Amino acid sequence: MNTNSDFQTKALTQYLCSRPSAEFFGRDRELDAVARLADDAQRGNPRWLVFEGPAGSGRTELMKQAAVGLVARRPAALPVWLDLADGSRSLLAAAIHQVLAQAAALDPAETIELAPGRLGPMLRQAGLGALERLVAAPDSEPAWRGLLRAARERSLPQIILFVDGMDSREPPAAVLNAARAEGRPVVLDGAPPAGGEEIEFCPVEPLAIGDALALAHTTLQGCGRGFEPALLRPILARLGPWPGWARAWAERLRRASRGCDWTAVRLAEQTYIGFLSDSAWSRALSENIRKAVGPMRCGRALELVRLGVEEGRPLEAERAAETLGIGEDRLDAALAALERLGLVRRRGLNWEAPRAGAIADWARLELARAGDGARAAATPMEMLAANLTASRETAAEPPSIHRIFSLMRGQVVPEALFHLADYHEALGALPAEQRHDAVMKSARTLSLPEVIGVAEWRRPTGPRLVFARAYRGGHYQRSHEEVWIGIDLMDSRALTTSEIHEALAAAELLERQLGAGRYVYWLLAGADASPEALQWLHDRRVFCSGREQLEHLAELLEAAARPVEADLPPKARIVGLNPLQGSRPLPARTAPSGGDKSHTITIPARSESEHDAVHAAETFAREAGFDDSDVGRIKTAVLEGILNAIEHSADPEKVVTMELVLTPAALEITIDNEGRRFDPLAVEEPDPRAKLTAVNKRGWGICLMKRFMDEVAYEPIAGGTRLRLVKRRQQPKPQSAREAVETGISHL
Amino acid sequence: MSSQDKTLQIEIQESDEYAVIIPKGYLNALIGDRIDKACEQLVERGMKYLIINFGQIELINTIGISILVGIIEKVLMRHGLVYFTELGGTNREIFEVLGLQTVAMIFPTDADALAHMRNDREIYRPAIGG
Repeated sequence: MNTNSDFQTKALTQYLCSRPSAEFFGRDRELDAVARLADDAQRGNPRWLVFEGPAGSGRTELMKQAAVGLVARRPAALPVWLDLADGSRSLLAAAIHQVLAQAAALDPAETIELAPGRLGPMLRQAGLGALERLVAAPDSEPAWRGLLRAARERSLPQIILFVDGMDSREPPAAVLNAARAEGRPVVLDGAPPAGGEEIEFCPVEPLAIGDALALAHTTLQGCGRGFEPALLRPILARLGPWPGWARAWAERLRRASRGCDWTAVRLAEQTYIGFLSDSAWSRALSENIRKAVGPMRCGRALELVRLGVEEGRPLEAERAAETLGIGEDRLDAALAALERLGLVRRRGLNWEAPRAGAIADWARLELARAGDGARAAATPMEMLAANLTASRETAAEPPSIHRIFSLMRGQVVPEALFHLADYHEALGALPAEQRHDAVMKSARTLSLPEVIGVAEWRRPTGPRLVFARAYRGGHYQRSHEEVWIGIDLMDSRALTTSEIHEALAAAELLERQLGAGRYVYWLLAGADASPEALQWLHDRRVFCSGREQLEHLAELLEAAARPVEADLPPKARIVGLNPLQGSRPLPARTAPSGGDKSHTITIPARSESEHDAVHAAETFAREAGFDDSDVGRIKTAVLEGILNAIEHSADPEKVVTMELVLTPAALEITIDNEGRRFDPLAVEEPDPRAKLTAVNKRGWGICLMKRFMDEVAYEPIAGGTRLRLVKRRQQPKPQSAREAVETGISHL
Repeated sequence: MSSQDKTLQIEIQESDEYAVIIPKGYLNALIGDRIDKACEQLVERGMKYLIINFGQIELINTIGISILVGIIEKVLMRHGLVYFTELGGTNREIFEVLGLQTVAMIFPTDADALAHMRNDREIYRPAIGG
């Protein structure tokens, strides 16, 4: 009695390999070939069928599905599955079990013992006692012939042998010879040695794209990892629509499902897709690696990642420095840059490679065997390395967020633009022209706050942050103020979740420094971003704009800022006029028209000169009809503005120019200085109690200007900075909505 | 005792208990520094109550404001009090907008400030050794 490995239990389903048909798509032609084979065998014309195709083309799965289909739909057929790669038991024993299962009508899920002592009675009970002596027999041709002959004698269904693994194993000569001798149909996944039998060769073609997408989607969803077909399409485009990679992917996910960091795996998948598709995102990531460590050390950075993966533990800082080939003084900066890219992660004093670890793991999927060998031979890491050396085309600079905010000053900005700036829209299928039309239509209905000042928060590291103070409701009120924080990630077009986390953390830090209030975050991303990152932003209601949206916005705002006397395109009117609001925003500063009164004064940029400017402003304001209170406020605002201009000119030989323009709507004052650019709007709101003990007790001026004037804005000009102050003139309220509309139109 | 420095445009009225500083014209860095020095001398001499009368101030800039805040800090550290009086029109609005009423005592007139001072002296000063 054989007491070796046959003493096991095994579920019959492991032979029959039943799988959910939902993960099987687009092989009708091949399945029909198996059905015809079964029909011919039943008619006494046994044939052999060989499925031909590259590794990863799905032959094994196809044969399993065909075998399961025969069990389910053709009682006259008895498929026997022979896995050449399964060396744990003899093929003969495996075949006997399957024949026994069919003859005894066992439940495929039932587990049977392979021990001969248990199997013998079962065989005898099923009328297959002749097979009992074969159980412990060697895997020989006579034994196989005995099996096939016994099955026929017992009037069992027609045995059809399915032989899997012909490509990688020695052909099972005993099985094939017995099948020839006994005239049994065989289905193989590779050509057998010539033997004179009739063989039908059936090529396994690549899946149709729709089937491939459905297969990948369903397979991955089956292990809890849904991906939109649109995301999978790049892989298919690169690897070809072979199903093997999807199944390998799913298998890897199943293996990794215990105790893994799903976030890291998901990010790795996104990155992996990017690499496979050679997307702009992956190229941008490559560029960022190059920026992080320098062009000469990209390979070393990848080596660092690989070491982290292979060793499965954090790398000591000294070893990381050695691998990167840089001194420890520069190590932190380089690793911090790599960390921002998500390629390494700090663990105490050391570093590990979480996300890239998964990336490299992907490289070990051996996709070369799963698809087109020539193309898939390049691992993701190799693709990344190739990207690092590839030449890049420099895209045209998009409008900066500072410029956008500057254009927004004094304007009602269509909020719809920001909704459309959502990246989901940006990546949508709308042609640019249609999207532009949609923007214009939406602009008629929504409005954003008026921006009254823009400043930049400078930090040595991290994303560039530009913030704008704004308010709603037509008239400034402290309680209506809100702050828009623009997060400029245009340079880093590989918008990963970790980058977003870092950027939003910086914005939150700025928010804390600016104090309590209403804040709106607006993230400016490059042209490519991971869908997960976009979804994350979407869930947190962070506005996100891409290059195209910025260009749209800049175009619209620039049109709105043109002189009102000019021939404005219709779109400009949409932005510039919201006549049903309580008050309308002033158009951006323009040269005074013929009916406007103006006065210009130039003073030396030195102390005591402010008297002249203040006196001029006081006189002008009084003549304009402002009351004493407003005149006092205007004087104070001008005084502070002039003092700032003098201070930042830093050269008494330079001059400060103030222009006062009286329009029907307001007194507009511009103060231009020569010298370094500055933006006092970046100064925090003063807190008197904090100032009591602070070393720097200054910083009150901007607060006064903002309180005393209706608009305060700084903007850079050639060779200096311009401060724009606006004090609206009090006007009688329109008597009707119609009058309000007409008043608004008259300003256009 | 009363002193007036026309060059510096500051008038100081001094008694045993308090001093009234009356700057004139444009409260900028220059005048602010003079007020600061005058207050510092008064505090050094043990003066606990200082009244700064803005009745003759026509214009205030924020550099002057920052100097005033420094004066308040110095006086408070010596357990004294600073009163701002005669703030009218835009000047009062400036102080209110900047929230200086939270760190200094603002009264319409010197008499109002003195009334508060006497009350403060009777109630609080003994407790803190003043």
